[in-house]
Order: sequence, then structure tokens, then C-alpha cells
Amino acid sequence: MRLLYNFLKDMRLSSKSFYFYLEIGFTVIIIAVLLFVVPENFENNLSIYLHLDVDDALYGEIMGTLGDNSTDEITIVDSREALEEAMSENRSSVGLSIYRENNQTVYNFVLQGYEEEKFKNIIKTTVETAFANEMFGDTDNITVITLNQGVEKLSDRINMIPIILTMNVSFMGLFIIASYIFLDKEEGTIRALAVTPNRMWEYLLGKMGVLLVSGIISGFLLMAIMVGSKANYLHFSVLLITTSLFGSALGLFVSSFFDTMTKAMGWLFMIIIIFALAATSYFSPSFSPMIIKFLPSYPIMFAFREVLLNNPDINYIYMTALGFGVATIVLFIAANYRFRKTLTI
Amino acid sequence: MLRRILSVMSRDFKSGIRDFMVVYILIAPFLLAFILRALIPSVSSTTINIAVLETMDQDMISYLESYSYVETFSNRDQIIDRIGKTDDIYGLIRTDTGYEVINQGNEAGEGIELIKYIVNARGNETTQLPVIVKVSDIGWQLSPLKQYGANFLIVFGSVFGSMIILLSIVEEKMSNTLSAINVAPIAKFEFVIGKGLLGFIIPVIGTIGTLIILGFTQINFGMTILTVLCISLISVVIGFSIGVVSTEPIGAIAGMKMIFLPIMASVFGGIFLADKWQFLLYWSPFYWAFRSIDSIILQTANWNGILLNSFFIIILTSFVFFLLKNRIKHGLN
Repeated sequence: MRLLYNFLKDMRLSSKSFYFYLEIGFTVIIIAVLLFVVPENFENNLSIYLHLDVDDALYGEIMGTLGDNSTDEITIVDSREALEEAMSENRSSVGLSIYRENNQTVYNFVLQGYEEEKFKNIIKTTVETAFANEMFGDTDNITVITLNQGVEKLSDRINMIPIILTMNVSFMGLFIIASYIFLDKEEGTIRALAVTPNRMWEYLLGKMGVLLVSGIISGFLLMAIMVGSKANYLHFSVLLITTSLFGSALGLFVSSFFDTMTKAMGWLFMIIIIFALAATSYFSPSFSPMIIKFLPSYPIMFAFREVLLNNPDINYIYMTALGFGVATIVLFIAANYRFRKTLTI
Repeated sequence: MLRRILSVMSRDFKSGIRDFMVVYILIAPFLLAFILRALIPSVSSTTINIAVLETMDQDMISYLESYSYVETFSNRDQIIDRIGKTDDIYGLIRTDTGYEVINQGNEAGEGIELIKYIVNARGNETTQLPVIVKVSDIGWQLSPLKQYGANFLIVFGSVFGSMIILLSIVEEKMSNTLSAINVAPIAKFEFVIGKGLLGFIIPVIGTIGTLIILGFTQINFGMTILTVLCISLISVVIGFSIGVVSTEPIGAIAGMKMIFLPIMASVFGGIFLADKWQFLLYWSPFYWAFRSIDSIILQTANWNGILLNSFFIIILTSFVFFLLKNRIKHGLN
């Protein structure tokens, strides 16, 4: 009962604060950017500079093949030097120089130089095998087995939503809860708490509840407008609630080591930037070093992505929710223990 | 005048040092640069990850390792469990008739085709082709992660200084010391400059540290400092405008989050958007800073280009300042 009273009192106070509406305003801006600025899908064409030093017949044949098949941006250059110069101007481009040497046609793929040896081997081998298949027929004796048939791929725009949900909703509390606690401390509200029947954990849980409500409003607003009825809102709610509570509990635990907001803020800010690194593996799943997989933001992003799919991996969603639920309890107990010793002093 | 400006700045600096805020904010870009540097070696250009059985022919495993990252497992079920995880990895298992490639179905790129080519190539090693395929490079060792990662840290780091301004103003408002400047022997513009100086100095220190840690010692530091000073200007204006209207840290921090959105949009948009869509970001001063820093890191920058981009940043910042001028003025009263 006291817990409910605490929560309702905090909600009443928060609903009068500028911050509460700023958070919702921020979500509205994100939605507007997603709808009106971000294209549905990014065009990710590769820039290729092509230099051909071959006879007219081969030139025509190569150009015909490229014209039919390529969706990349191909620029023909006059010389090898021009090719290298053009590549120096555009560091995300590649080059292809085709010329004759000892009565053989040489296909020289020119890369920038930062690429791994494995990648160079892949290019050489795949092109050689493509030629061999062309000449001697495909000797394929490989069977492909796809575990999830008809798996859905999200549009680039929708694919960004899990990152926004993770960083702006789940970890919203990380920053804000410390502000709430230290504001109460500076205003002396915490001292008043010491003479009420309220216990510390009820006070802290009340604050987490306010941030949870704020997160739920922002999260549902984003999902309702961007995804509509396509998402499963039961899975979404479970994940949103557990991860949002986790963000607040982590914020409480970290700030329990500091006695002012300014001291805590540097570390909280650093934590949020480090958590954001998981977005690199989210966008390039073949790059997932162990250090990134250990970040809490990594499973949360992928679990939110599952929520957006027609056939989500329910096991993954609920295991993530369970894991963060347990972590929340542990962090909350630890934060409560520390704050009981330090907050009212 | 200079003495008064410096005394406002040194007071903020001392106060920041006392509660470690300045120390944390100074350390943050260096720490992030070290993390980025630790990550870079494990980042590859597009390669593939393959899961195989321990019983697979060792020569075949070595062959696959020259093209991909290989993980070994004791049975098929373990491979399938591994494929089901979030990152992209393909299974390759020897069968009586050839090979079986297992994928989850949601992988990015053309991994299956590449694996087919690689496996088939092993059987074609003795085949004589009428063409020669060569792979060479033009000697550019800088990886895109390092290039864009450094850029992101520099542009993002430009707000670190304004966070100090923001918090010091909020603190002064909470302790009612801000109104004391009305009766102190210091002009309001001197107070503003004094408060704003750290917002320029801290990003410059952070930027130089980040570039040195990441090994960019050959770049033009003059152009870099000019760009960072320009981009710090917009952060300082926003820091002031949020600080003067916030009466407590919650509003200030939530307001500060607003600045993250244009920064993220500018940097990631600058990286991922095709050239024809880049005009969508022309409104953002952070985008012009991103372009300047990119050309500086790539060592393709010239003063004309940097001055032009800086001009755009200043114009856009002036526009923002014009919009927020009255709000800042009013807030300082």
C-alpha cells in the first residue's frame, strides 16, 4: 500500500515536471525523423572504378555483362593511374583493371589495402570458381538447408527501432533515476523519508515505477505509430518492462557510489556510450566480438528485433526478459543495501 | 576583462575538479578511444563465419580458415544451436554426396554463394583457367571502423564541454548564485564567455587525445582544431539555452539528450546514406563537422574545403543562436 502511495505521489509530481513531457516530445521527434527523413531502405551500392585495356570485342563483351547484371555504380577510367587516383578520392570504393598479359586476360581486383587477407582470398577464389563454372559447368554438390524457411527481413527503417527502444527507452532510467534521487537528496526530501514509515526499497521502487511509466508511454507511442498492429504487444510489454527496470536498477546501483549528480553523470554517460557500441554488431552480425556480446544492450537489441518479426523466437525474448529480470533484482538489492547506508547521511 | 573571464572559467574548473565532473569528462574521450582501439583489430572487412564438426578433415579446416573464421563443434545439434544465435554464422558439414551448408535464413549478404564457391574451388584447384585473377591494393591501411569511429568520437565529444556549462549553470541556479552576477563587478558577456570557455577547451583536448591514441599523428591539427572549435560553438549555445531554463538536473539531462539525436543522425547518415540523400542532413552543423573531420582523417582536406564547411557550421549556429538569444538572455536574468 505504501509502495503504491509512493508511486502515485511520484507520478503526480513527475506529471507536473518539464522533463516528463520532454521525454515524450523526444520520442515524437524520433518518430518524425523515422517517417520523414529516414528512407524505407538504404541503397548500399558499391562504387567501382573500371579500367579496361583490352581489344574491342572483349571490351564490348565485358560492358554488356556489366550493363546487364550490375546494380553498382561503375565509373570507367582511362588508365590504371586514374583508377588509383579515383580510389584514393573515394575510400569506400574498389577498382577492377582488366588487361591482356602473355596472351591471357588478367582480372586485377584493386582494393584499398585495409582489407583482410581472408577477404582477398574470397574475391580471388569466387571469381576463379565463377569462371570455371562458366566454362566447365557447375559441379555443385552442395545442399543448402535453411533452418527458418521464409524468414522475414525487416526494412532498414523498422530495423532501427530496436536500437531506439534499447537506448532511449530501456536505458532511459539509467540517467534519469540518478537525477531524481540526488534532487531529493539536495532538497532534503530524503531526510524527511527517514522519519516516515517508508522503507528505502519502497522509495527506490517508487522512482523506478515512474521511469517505467515514462518508458512504457514512449515505447508504445513509437511502436504504435511505426509498427502498428504487426508487433506482438504481449512479448513487447514483457521485454520493455524487464529491460526498463533493469536500466533503472543499473542507474541506481551506479549512482549509489556517488554523492552528487555531477559526480555520477560522467560514469553514467560513459556507460551509455559503451552500451551504444552494440549497435555495430546489430547492423553487421558477422562482426560480433565477445566484448560486445557481453554488453547488456546486445541481447536487448536482438530481443526487440524478434518482437517485430512475424514469427518471433519466443524462447529468446523470454529468456532475455528472464535474465534481465533476475539481474534487476540483484542490482536492486545491491543498490538498496548501499543507499540504506549512504543516502540519508 | 580577460582576468575576469579567466576567473569565471577557473572557478568552474575548480568546482568541476572538486566533484570530479571535469576529470570524468576529460577522461571520457580518452577511455572511449582506447576501447575503440581495442576493438579495431577484431574487426574484419566482409568475411564469413563457418561452424564445422571436429571430425572434419584437418586440411579442409585449414583451407576454410584461409577464407573465414571457423568454429568447431562435436555434433550437428551443437552446430544448429550455434547458427540459431544472433550473429551470422553458417554450418558446413560433410555428407556422403558432398557438403551440406546450413543457414538460419536471416543472414545478411551472400554468404551461402560464397561458401559454395570456396568449397567448389577446392575441387577445381588443378583446373587451368584461360584468365588470371589477381587481387592487389593501393596501400591504404585505415579501416572504416577506425575512420568513422574516430570521427564519431570527435563530433560526439564536442558536447562534453557543453555538459559542464549546462550543469554548472543549473547548479548556480539551484544555489541562487546566478542572480549574484547582476551585482558583481563583471559584465554579463564576460560571464558568458568565461562560462563558455571550458566548452571549447575540453573538446579540443579530447579531440587531440583521441586522434593521438588512434594513431592519427600525421593529420593537419590546425584544420582539426578549427573544426572542433566551430562545432563546440553550437554545443555551447545549446548548453547555455538548456541550462538557463532548467531549474534542476533532470530537465537539463533530458534536454541534453535532445542534442544526441542530430549528432547521431548526422554521423550515421553521413556514413550510410547514399550521396543523393546526403542533402537531407545539410541543416545539421554536426553533419558539416563530420564531413570536415572525415576529410582531415583521410588526409584529403584542404583549407578551402574546411573553411567552407566551418562557414556552414557558423551560419547554422548563428541561426540557432538567433532563435535562442532571448531565451538565454532572459534565463541569465
